[in-house]
Amino acid sequence: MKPAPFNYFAPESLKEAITLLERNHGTSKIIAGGQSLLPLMNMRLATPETLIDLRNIDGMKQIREVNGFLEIGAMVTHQRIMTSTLVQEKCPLLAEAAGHIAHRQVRNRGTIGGSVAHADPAAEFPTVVTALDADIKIEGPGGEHWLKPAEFFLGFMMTTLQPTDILTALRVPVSPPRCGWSVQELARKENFFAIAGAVCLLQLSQNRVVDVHLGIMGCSPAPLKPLQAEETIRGQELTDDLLAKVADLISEQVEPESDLHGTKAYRRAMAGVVTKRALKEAHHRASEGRQ
Amino acid sequence: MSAMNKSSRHMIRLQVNGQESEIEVEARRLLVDVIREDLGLTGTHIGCEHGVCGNCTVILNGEAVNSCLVLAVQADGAEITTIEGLGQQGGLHPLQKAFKKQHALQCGFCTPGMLVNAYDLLKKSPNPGREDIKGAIAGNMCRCGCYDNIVEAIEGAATELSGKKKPSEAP
Repeated sequence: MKPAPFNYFAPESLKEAITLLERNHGTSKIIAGGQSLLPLMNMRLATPETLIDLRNIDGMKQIREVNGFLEIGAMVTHQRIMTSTLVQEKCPLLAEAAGHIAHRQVRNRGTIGGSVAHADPAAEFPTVVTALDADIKIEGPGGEHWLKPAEFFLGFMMTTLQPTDILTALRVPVSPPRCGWSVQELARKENFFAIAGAVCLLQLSQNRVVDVHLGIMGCSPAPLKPLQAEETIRGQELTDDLLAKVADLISEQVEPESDLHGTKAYRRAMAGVVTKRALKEAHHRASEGRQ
Repeated sequence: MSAMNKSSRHMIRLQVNGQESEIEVEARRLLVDVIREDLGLTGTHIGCEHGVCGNCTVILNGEAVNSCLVLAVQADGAEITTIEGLGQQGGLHPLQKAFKKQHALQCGFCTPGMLVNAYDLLKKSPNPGREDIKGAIAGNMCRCGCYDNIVEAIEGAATELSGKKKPSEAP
């Protein structure tokens, strides 16, 4: 199908974009790469009256390192994050996660800001942002503010983003040296949406896990950061017993839905399995001292 | 949405396969539809219309994209390469020749998307491994199931284009 009619604007400043959002309050949508919004519009599941394109606005396409963080503009594409040497070096988990997103045609256009604002709980960037407790920059009529993932993601494709707000950047903590990381996904076909997925960033000191960040995708209404599981791992050696215990914790904590690709019970079990795989690979990489 | 709603209209400039065009488009029109209907370049096929099948792959400002997930108005000022820009009858691109040689198609519906995506891949990565090729075409569906031959063809074209011989053919 084709999109329903709408009015299109491609403003050259953020201020102008916010004014357009105010003028078309609640009936307009922001378009970044359009790789999630346009399928919805083509299928007429989304029929915004006004589309406001961010493509002509400067200053949202940079990746830079600022005080221990990577600041990534909302319009940076998945492909750029995947291939950026800065991201590969400073936050390898994010670069690797980008490589799991869809296919090269989609990665070439889809953006990190769009993915986070779209808030699909089976998507990679919302999960990594949640796992790493990254900061989300919001700009609106009242100025700018930063939100934590817990203050941003509400549920399935729902966020606290207001109708006149624009997500403009993300601030992701630079990973400490000698970290290990992993992205594990179970999907029917390469790079399709994960039936269950886990991301992990892990820091070792003398064989003990001194810090760990986990994110679970596709198994709850919003990306899940399993705090209790993280707490259980911190300070411990990653033994098979501990892995089994963590997998059980995760399986209990997720709130999956049944669909064509997997039942609730299957997703619950697989959430534990992918978490174990992610922890093992991250541990392996950390002990090899790869960074 | 009401039936009374109308799309805004925009003048856009596109450079497709080196040729400049200026076209007035409704905002809601997809790039693939403008390429096919307004420019008459029907080599680019439409499959799923939601970014899953890869049939509508074109190169937009140097990047392979699904042209069903780009509004024509978003491509204003862009340089685009479609399958018609690769080669012509009697002057096929090495990728096209390789597809022919390796029988990398049955019905041929997915072929333009496969070729354009592979063309972009080889521009960026002239000597991809088999796994790289498979990963790169993961977003292009072939319902005849010619994947093995497609991978072979892309590998063969890469070998020819980069001037390197396959290990088995090396002296």
